[in-house]
Amino acid sequence: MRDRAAGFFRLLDWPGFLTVLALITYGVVMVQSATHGTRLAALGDRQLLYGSLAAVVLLAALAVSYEVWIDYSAFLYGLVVLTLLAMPLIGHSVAGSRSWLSLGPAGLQPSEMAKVFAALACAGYIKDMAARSLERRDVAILFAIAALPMALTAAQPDFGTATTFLPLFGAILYLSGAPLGRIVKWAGLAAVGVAVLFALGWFTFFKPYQKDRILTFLDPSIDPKGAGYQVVQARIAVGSGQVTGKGLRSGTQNRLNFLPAPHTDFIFGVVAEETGFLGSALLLSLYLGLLLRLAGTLELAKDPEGRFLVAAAFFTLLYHILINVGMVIGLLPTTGIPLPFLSYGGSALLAMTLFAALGINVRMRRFSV
Amino acid sequence: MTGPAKALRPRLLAILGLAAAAVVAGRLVWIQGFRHAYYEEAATEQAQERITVDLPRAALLDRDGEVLAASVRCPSLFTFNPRRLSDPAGLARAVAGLSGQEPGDVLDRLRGRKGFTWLARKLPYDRFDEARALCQRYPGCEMMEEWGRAYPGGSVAANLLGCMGTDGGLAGLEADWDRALRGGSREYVVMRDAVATTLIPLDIVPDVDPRPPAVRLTVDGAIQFYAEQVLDRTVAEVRARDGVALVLDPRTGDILAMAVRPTFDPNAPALSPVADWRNHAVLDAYEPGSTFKLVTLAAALDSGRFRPWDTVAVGNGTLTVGPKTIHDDEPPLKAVYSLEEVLAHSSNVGAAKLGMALGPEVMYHYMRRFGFGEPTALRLKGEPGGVLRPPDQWSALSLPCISFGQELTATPIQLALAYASVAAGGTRVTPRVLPDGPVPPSERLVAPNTARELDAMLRRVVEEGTGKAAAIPGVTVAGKTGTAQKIGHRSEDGRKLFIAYFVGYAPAEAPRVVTLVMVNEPVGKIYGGAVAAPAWARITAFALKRLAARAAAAPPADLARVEVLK
Repeated sequence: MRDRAAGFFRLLDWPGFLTVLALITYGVVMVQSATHGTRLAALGDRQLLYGSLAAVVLLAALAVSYEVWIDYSAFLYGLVVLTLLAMPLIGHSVAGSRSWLSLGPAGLQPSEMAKVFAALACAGYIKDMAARSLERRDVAILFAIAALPMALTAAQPDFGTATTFLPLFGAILYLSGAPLGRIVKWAGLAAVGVAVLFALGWFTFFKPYQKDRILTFLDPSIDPKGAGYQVVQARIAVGSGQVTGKGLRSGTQNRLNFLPAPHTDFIFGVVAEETGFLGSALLLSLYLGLLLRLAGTLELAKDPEGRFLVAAAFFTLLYHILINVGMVIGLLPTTGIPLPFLSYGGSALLAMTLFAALGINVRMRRFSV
Repeated sequence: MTGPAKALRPRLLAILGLAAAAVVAGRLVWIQGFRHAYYEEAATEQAQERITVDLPRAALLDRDGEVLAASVRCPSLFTFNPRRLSDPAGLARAVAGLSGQEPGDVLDRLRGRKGFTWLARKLPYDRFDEARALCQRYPGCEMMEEWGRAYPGGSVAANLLGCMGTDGGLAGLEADWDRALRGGSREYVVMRDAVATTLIPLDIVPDVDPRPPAVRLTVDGAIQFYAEQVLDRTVAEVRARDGVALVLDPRTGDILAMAVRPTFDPNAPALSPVADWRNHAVLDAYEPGSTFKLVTLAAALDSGRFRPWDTVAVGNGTLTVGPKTIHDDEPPLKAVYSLEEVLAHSSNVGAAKLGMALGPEVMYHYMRRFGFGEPTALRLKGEPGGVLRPPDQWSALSLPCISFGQELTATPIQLALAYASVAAGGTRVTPRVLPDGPVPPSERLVAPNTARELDAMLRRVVEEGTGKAAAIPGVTVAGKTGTAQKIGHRSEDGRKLFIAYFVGYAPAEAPRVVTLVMVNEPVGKIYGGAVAAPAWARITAFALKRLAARAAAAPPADLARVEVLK
């Protein structure tokens, strides 16, 4: 037993492991700070529980080889897809979308877990191809694997979370080995398609609040007290944090309820306001360190399925970070996408921890035994 | 998955990650580094509301240090957020009942506001208990201490002192000297949140500002009070429109009393019409009537054209100038009056003839000399100079009319100062309400000899003329009556309107006080000698006694020191 533990710690990718642990800790501290003394104070303690749980999951996910995880991928994927299918019946409605599964005192967002398990399922398919190169048909099947839970999530309806499956397509394309030119061409086509859909949606199924978000992103001063409010308040929080910040639990934007959703989607606003540029830069450095660690792993991975997992983790994390931080600092429109490891919520934290763990796992077990 | 693509791709991802980090970091440097001041201000501005509350202002004291006006702690009511009040209508009614506002006005102020809102400011200092009870009954209504103004004497000297509004002086010295009397102010910061649920009043300035030093006035509280009592009774007795009683020290120009009727209670100025706040002694000019004959006589004597025993033919007491006939109030005792008798019997015809003999330039010169036509050195805001047109605008009637006090107006203080300069031996008396500081070097208005001759004439007015009612037993009194008809004004029932005056000084040998009593539009008794002179005598007698008592109670400083050294 001790030998096993010693072996695991020798095997462990300490930089990757410690970076993820640091991010989880940072998240717990910031959620505590964002909710301390407010009516949401209980959430801070709950996030401490989730953080501890995530640390255990991190260790557990690293202790078992990613190959074992892939072996169970079909089962996990099937389970989560079935759950998503059943959500209209068993789901708990929050803000108009049935995305929550009630598990006693805690809730679970199956769509968050679906991202990881879809990635695992794709890796499983790639493994089954036994090192033959990806055909166009394979790409189509992989797309389908990712698209199924994405569609079910969109149907809840939760468009924001549905878009977080997009990085998986990026990872599939990346793995397909298609020349850069072709990817760019496809991306261009996709962009045109999205634009067409967008234009169509604008005049048909977009809800007024969605239109407002886009309009007020383009010009927050259109309606500073209404839809542009969040954008303006978030930017004020970031800017007033200055270089060193106002100190934990001392951000007025957060404390006085000017910052919307300070413990979830806008937690980066709290980070920027209370810890300033230094704290924000530290957080971004941790993210960058993790991303670079994953990018470096791509060359080292011993098999295509490992490479795919690393790419999926890389793209998913990058997507979340960019969309969320971009929103808070006023570079992108408002969307409800959580900041990995930082935003309050157990499901997202577990999903991101699993993603990161799988990527690091591939690096740890890069040598064929 | 072969060839150069495989080697390139991982680096591509790293570059992607780095580029993303660079964009985000760049944006953060921009917002948090370069633009931080803007966002800092935005955060502060929306989270804080500043409320400025005045600290105590300088007290006003009478010349003995008795408090005339002082700053006291008062309850003020406010709410952090009118939208959270459970019963705004009930609160508005209760606040209105306590403050004298209209309930509708209070309610209007509460509607449509969500930040800090005043309900009632600076309630009377004795209403703390009521204010606290109100806060208990209406959650959301809060009380804080502010500095308000209290006037312990009520209406004593009210028209001189003026009164305060919420943000400063509204009238009188409180308004004129507002900036000088003002103490510091204190800022409160109200922390406000986006939905206004938690509010934290922060006192960012400690209450250490010293109170500005009290300001001592020349007013003698006792004389002021007594003069007001006498004036009150006089004005009530003849149902006059308004009245003034002025007492000043001719040696220093100190205003010892400035009583004005009607008056008001500066502790609750809103209960009286604004017209009642007015200081008629300084701010309004009236026809001076016969009291102005002093100036005509002064011009006649000081110009060297006449001696006191020179005579003027007054005939049967009428004089026709162009279309107008000038009458004496009473038929002359004889056909020829000496100058002394012109003043003693207040002959309009005599004064008009003297003025016409002197000519417009000489008359105008002496009127300006005595300070008519320009505001006095008191320099109270809004003080008029009175109507005094230059000779080139005079008609043929102007000179005779001005000579007995028509066709011009003067403020009571101007008139009193003209008599004060005779009391001061023919030198200008500069009035003041602040006792400290040197008396300005006095300017000669008429020769000492002229002053002596005028003094003798003014004594005769009381001894044997129209002013007998001004006599004070045991004191030589010098003064002049006046009964000015308000030309062109009549009462609603068609009566002619008059102003009754008596102005003079005592004791004539060494004048200590100059007193003026003016009663505007008396009904029934109209003559200065009947209406104003008795009041004048009572006020002057009291003032002399009071000054004598003061002198006895407070020996000169060096005498006191000698006694201590023994």
